[in-house]
Amino acid sequence: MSILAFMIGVGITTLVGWLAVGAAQGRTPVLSRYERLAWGLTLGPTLGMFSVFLCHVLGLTKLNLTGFLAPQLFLIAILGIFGWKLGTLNFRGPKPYVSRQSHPRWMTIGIGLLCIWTAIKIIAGAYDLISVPTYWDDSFNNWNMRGKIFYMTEELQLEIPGGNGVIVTAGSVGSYPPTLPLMKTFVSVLRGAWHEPLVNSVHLVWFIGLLSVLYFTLRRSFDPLVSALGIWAIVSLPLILIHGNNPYADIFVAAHVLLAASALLALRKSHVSSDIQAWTKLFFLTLGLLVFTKNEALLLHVPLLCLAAVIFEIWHRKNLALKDHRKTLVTGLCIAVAFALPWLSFKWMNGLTFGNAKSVSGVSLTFNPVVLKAIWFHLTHEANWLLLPLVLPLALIAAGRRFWRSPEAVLGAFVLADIALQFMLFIMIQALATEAINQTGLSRGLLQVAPVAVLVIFSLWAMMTQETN
Amino acid sequence: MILLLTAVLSLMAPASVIAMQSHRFEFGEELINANWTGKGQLSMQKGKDGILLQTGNGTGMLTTTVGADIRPQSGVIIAASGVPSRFYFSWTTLNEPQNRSFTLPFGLTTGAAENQDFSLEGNWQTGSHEIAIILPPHTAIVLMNIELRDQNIFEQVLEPLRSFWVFDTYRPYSINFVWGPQIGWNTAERQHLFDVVPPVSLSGTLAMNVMLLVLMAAMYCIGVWRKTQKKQTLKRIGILLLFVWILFDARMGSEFLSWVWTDHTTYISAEHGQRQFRDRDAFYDFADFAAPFVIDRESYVFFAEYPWPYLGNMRYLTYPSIPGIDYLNDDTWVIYRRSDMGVDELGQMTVDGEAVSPQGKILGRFDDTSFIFRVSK
Repeated sequence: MSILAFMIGVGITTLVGWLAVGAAQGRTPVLSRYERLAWGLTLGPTLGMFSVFLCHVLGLTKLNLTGFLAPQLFLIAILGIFGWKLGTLNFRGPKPYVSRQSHPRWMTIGIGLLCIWTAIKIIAGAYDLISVPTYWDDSFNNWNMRGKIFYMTEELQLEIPGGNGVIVTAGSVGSYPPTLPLMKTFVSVLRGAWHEPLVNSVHLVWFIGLLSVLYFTLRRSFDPLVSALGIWAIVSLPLILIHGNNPYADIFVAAHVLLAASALLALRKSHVSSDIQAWTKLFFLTLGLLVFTKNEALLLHVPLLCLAAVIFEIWHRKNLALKDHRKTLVTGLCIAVAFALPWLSFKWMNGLTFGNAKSVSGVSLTFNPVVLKAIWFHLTHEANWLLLPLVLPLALIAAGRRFWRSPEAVLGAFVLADIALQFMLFIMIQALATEAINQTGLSRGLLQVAPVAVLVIFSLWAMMTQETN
Repeated sequence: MILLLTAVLSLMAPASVIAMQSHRFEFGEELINANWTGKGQLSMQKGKDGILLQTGNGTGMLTTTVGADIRPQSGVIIAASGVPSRFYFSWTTLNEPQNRSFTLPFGLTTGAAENQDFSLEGNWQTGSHEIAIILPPHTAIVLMNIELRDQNIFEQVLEPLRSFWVFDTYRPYSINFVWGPQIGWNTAERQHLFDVVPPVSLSGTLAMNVMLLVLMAAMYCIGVWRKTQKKQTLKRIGILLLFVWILFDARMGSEFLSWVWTDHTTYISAEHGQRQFRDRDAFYDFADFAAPFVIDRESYVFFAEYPWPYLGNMRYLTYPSIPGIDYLNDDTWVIYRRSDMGVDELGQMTVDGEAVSPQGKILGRFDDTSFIFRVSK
């Protein structure tokens, strides 16, 4: 029963995402058929739950079977008609990938073994995820708890009863976007019961989505074997593996950040007008949905992605006639705003805080040098990111100016700026400094951009390999 | 490569270097093999298995001297006590004027003979030492033997390598950070790498980072010196990094799989009622046991050994029944691991023997200290 509920739930959201991505691409698809599926798998739950949220807060539906199915089926119908008119409903697409190359036998065997090792870790982690009780603090106090409350009350509750008349206020975990808990509620509604393995299994969707998107992004620059090495590299990072197989929200955010970064990179590499239009709309679609994932996305990733897009795409691209793409830009911005605005208005109307569990309004700015020590310890003494903190700066130095003149520079700039901003916030804001020193919140933001950092390393590697060849 | 090098070096070394040197101080009857002196308020009584050491109102100390030829890196003390007791092991260098003393605390809890491993790494100086067992006032222990281990060169190389593969367990902090490999220099240190948080041993991650930086700098310098193409040097550095990354992944991936395996054996495949889950032990079985008793209540009283993480976890598991401490209004008490709480002969809930509720009865008992109590109407 749970498997059926999972299949139907994920099937519906994937179809929503697949149709939306098709609509954003328009008549000239830029994603291959499988890549579009990976995008749909990742973006679908966010878009589907956004429609459920919108209908619910407008007072049209409750959070019951009708409340979940009606908005999504309506969305499927609208996007389906749109897709049918555009001719994007077929399961075909371009093959914008590097063709298979011959490699030494030892390399093929070596990467094959690493892929098997990676598969073993993922399967073992997935088995653990669906077999053990909800253990982590944020899961039973936030993500799963809110989903269960939505399921029991059929309403979007912002406050959590703490017992003895004490209420955990809306400004706390209630200020997080409800996407992830709503997805848990959705599959529970389909099953007709709150079932721990089922509600925790939805996290696998984003983990698989993240890995698929990374693979297909790499395929645009590398052959299948080297792209598979990218999957090994990202899963080798211990915190990625742990979060991928636990009911936490950061892989969910990371998958969206990676999609936006992937679109930005493809946009940067595009020279054909139709491709530019398609990638622009996909970028803004992802950006708008990113706002509806977790609070830090709004304050950290979205502004920096926008800034990177402006600097590298509009200002840096000399041959872009802005007026030629004015319509695309306006359409893209409208898509992003259409998703961001309802949630931001809802937050504002309900007095929900902006910030990652800690409100950014009224924070006192200080300088906490001890945070630097915590960051240094986190990056050099602990195994959270394996050799990534050593390899990334060294590779950037080794590649030198050549990298900063390449299209991939947009990702490098985004990752560095994002990490720098995170560290700055931890150092300057007292409430966050405590999280950094205790190492309770330090890794989350890094985790969200780690897949993009892996993309950067592969780009740098390609650059050096090409030089060698 | 390192192992091969060690093996070759070991073959070249004199036998005394390779031999494991273990210095055992026995305390069983007819086995005592050193001159021990009692100091302070210490009484001693020989026994079959060991020597009974007892103190009165003051501290007692049992000491002996060890020669400069003994240079241990670790040790183990075997002792027992009928009641939970503490004692200390100390060692003092006897090379005046810079005598230095070090003390390690130990606890005995089970009543049976317990092995107490300890590391002396970096704190045992050259020269003669005075070693001592120190007992606080009103303590009684049976001391069975003390072993000081002087590891041979082979073990000294092997132990850090083995410690690299010692894993932490799945803990509440694992979602935020992982310690990664820790380098222990002797058996005792290796066996207790993750006992204290944060670990006190050398971080394997740091060691690898430093070694890599040195190696990469050396490769770069050799490349410049030999006028090798820069691209070629970079390629070699890339291969080195990839190799170490794979090794590191093997270590961390294995740790993750060990966690899953532990979950499988202790919880997933264990009998219901016998399941133990990470640091929560039997809590989830208890929650399953308690849930039916509160399902028809809006709220209930909940006391556990600690509020965190049990209160939040219980709230989630039994929602919409909410746990709290509203004992004036709620009639159902859910008690988890509270040895200070019970029900007296009048049927009242007690805390430290003092009645805190109206009369009622125990609806179900999970274990000696965990049960469900309901106040009579």
